[in-house]
Amino acid sequence: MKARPGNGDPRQATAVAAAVLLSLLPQLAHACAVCGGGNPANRFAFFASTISLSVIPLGLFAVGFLWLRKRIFSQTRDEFRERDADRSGRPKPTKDS
Amino acid sequence: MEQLNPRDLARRNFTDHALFGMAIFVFTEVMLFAAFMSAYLITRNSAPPGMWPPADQPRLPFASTAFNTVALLASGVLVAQAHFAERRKGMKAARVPLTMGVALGALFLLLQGAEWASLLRQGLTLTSSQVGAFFYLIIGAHALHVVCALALLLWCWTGLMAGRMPASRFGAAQLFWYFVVIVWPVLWLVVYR
Repeated sequence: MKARPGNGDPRQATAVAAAVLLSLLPQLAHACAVCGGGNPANRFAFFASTISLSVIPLGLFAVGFLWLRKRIFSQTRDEFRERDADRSGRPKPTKDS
Repeated sequence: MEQLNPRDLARRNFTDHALFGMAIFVFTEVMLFAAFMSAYLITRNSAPPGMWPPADQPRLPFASTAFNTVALLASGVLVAQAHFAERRKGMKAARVPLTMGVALGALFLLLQGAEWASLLRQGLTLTSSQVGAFFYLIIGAHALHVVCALALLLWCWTGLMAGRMPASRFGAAQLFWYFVVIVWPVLWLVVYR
């Protein structure tokens, strides 16, 4: 049977204690030479890239959606106008009207 | 009340297929160049101060490339003019601006080729430094796009001269060309400077 920390396993108890102690002393980890480098210009470039690469696709999706929405609305609006004109017996409206 | 059948609505062509397909393609291309820019800027900013570009590497010709930039921007304006002329006055009216637009696009490509030859002679190659690697990758990718977009415009031009140019073909070619034109000043300002 495996020992649990509560059961007095000294290795696991040491590991837990070490993890708690480390969490009390946070330090900035420069693990990645690119994103976490000490160079402020580099950090800014990474931050700006992250923002732009996140925003560009969302912006393009939004533009595409709005463009399609506008086209659908403009086409279906003409259709309803034609249908209503047919019902009332009035002449069909032209695109300019 | 009469209802519109949703199935009919879904099958309707709300936009030109060629244009829509090109828009999706351009979308992916925007992301490609954004990723290139991101990688370039991070690498450039991670270089120690004064080390970009390295001392033994030639400087990119920012000032002389301004002329190429003007030629490409003018080409974009002329293609837009051709579009409006074609819509307002018919195909014949679009011939001159489209011909000039295509010619300026070809001029841009020729000048870029000459610039590349000069840089290669000065020792800037794909493997000489990170500057060279990024330069040929990013500017080369753009040049490849210019070649493809120019081929599309030439296809439209031959159709225009023959008097049978489908509007959808021209619309898709224009969108691709505008993308190539608009992305260039960004590349020029970021990579060359």
